Amino acid sequence: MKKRIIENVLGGQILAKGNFTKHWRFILYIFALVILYISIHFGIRNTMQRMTRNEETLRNLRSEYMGKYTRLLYTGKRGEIEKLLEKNSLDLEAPATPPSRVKLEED
Amino acid sequence: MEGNGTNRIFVRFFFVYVFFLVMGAVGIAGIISVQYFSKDKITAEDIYKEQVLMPMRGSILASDGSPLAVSIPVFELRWDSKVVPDSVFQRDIDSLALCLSRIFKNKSASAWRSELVSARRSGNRYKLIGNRNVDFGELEEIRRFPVFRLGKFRGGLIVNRDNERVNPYGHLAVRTIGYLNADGEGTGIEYTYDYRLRGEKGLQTVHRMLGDEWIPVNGAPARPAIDGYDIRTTIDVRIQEAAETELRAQLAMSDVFEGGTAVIMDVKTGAVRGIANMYKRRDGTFDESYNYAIAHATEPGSTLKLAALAAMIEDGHITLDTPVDGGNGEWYYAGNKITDTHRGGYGKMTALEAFEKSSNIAFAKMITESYGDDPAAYISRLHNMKLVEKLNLDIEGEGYANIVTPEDGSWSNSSLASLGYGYAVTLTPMHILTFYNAVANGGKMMRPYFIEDFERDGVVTENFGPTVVSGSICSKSTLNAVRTALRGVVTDGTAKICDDKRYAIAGKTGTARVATNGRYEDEQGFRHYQASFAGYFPADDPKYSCIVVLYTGKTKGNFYGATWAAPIFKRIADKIYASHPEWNAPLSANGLTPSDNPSIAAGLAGKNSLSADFMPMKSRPHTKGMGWVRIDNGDGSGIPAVSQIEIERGIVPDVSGMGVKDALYLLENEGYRVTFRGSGRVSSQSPQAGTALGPGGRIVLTLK
Repeated sequence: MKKRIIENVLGGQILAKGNFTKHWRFILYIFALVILYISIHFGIRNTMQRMTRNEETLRNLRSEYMGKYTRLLYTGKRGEIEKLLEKNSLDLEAPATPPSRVKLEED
Repeated sequence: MEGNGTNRIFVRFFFVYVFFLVMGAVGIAGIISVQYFSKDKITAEDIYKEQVLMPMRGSILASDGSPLAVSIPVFELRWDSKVVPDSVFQRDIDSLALCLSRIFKNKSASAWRSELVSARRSGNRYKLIGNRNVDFGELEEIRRFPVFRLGKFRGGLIVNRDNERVNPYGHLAVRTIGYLNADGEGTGIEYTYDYRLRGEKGLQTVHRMLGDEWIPVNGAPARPAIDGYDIRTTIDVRIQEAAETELRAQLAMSDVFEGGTAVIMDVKTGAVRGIANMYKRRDGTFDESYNYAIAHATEPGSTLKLAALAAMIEDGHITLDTPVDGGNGEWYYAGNKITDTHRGGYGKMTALEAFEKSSNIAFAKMITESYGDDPAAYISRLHNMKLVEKLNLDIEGEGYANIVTPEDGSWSNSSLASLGYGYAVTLTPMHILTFYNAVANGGKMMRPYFIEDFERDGVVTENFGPTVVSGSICSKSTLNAVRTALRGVVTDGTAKICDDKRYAIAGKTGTARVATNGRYEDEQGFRHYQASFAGYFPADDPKYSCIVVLYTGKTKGNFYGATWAAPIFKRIADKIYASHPEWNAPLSANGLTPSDNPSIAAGLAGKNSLSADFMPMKSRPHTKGMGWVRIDNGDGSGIPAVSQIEIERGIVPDVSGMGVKDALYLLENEGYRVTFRGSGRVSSQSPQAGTALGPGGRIVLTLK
């Protein structure tokens, strides 16, 4: 008896008779649901992982942008520009008179 | 045969089946063993953890929104020298050293090489790389360096993430911006408004994934981090830089100076546009370690004669024409000797001339004659004019203004005379400037302020703006009189150095001896001076008020406001004058308008910088969202035609007609090196547009 049960299970005959054959559609349906559940779960995980990575990239890009921006701001200081002009022996001088706005009437 | 074959298939199938069954059983046994019998137990903490989300600290911004202090993510680099294989190290060490010396620029390639070799020899597994943290752009570059490109486990590069507070303009306004150390102590805006800047931490539960990545657990309670507020200050970067540069330059001219301050205020609002404080360090250089402007209350000297003049005119004791005798330059009052700097004295003059020449004797005489019977009336007048008012500044550290009154123990018979020329009262430079600013602002006294608003993502959440301290410090007639007198100081008095044909400055010089241990001069004849100049410009329609004060150490020389402080004021005013287009009334084009087809227009469209964006045109060409464009006559029908400039990698684009800023931007972004000569717009280029030229190629532009 025992031997037969083991044979049935190990040999797979158990799937071919009894309730399994009666309900194979339902079993298939459950199986499909399980597959669907697992794949959705993994899908969500992947998306969240992508989100985390994107956030990281965004932070890093911000770091890069701010790094460059702050260096440019420093270079753009009047004093720094004057130093550069002097270093490159350019004879440009700071203006002594203010710029004037020209008022034009649109017709 | 057939039965035999089926049997064989069954046997094979059986073995496969058993194999999977055994593998499954082994797997389950493994799980059970890890879960219950293994020493390295995996607990919930290994898979799930609470993660604190750090908020981004808010930025401190200048009045135009450019950042004065920002937090940026940075990376600290460490190196595990032991993981790198010998062959790789020997082969690549020279090129790695060269790359590092190029990016950090702090030492030569050979110095880098010996540093890395010695780290490896001593088995350093956490060697700090570089003299500073790097940003992400630099990190990406460093990750591509020889050795490091092999990754953490073979190249040994360890990257630690951190946040760094950066002041993009270097030391500019560093005292006002302030700092905050790890213990929560600090100065300036960083300290005073830390509760606004720091934001709120968040919390979330995260789950570990393969590859040591942590992702938030779906559905678990989470609180996002709230970033700190940005704080927009009133500081104008250009004005601030002018103040610091000029103050520093003047202080460098004599070893005697111990420090100085320059403050520039917007007349209408009281917004502080620039504030420089220089304090001498032990090595002789100056830095912003002490806020003279708001904290250092001293006897101001002659700059206070403005308040004395206003009080006497307001109370009807004198007019600008009242005669007063300056005598021979020496006068004794209540046993106290009062002197004028002019040898032989000023003799007879009017009150106006006394102010222009800054005669101490004349002012002592006028004040004692006006208020000799009732000194309290003068004190009360000064209070009415809000001179000694607590300013309630929006940054910490305000010094107290104090005035000696007849009720005080320190009041003496000579106190009233001293008050007339700026002694027996202590005021900070900010107090004096606030008073001068009120005179410039038609009598309306504004509270000086540094904080414009709190904002988040550019949206203002809390606005502060100007506050009126007093609607009118004196009558209009008094105001007109003192403004005439202040202008007179520059045209005919002690501050002629500030006279300028292009725009009018009004102000008053001040030279005060500073009392040390109750004495203005020690036994050896050494004195401390405070040289100052306070005023505003343009005199007829004041836009900015400014005070400059320089403090000396022990000296036997004379340091006058007229010769030391006034020139700084003038140079700062010149820089402000030269850089502000609103200074002069707009020029009228007298009906002239440009032609409808601006053939000069080529550049990047839709950014409000293409010349066509500003021009009055009947039929404005539509350029929005078009990128690089050229606008020309078209078919000659008078309607401007817009054509897009084609940009193709490796082909020189046509930049003719562009301004040099646009041309440089375009060409350098394409990887070319550009030189130019002449001025105006690009008239020709070499090599010609359409030529094939790889990145790094040189292009010469001729401007006309």
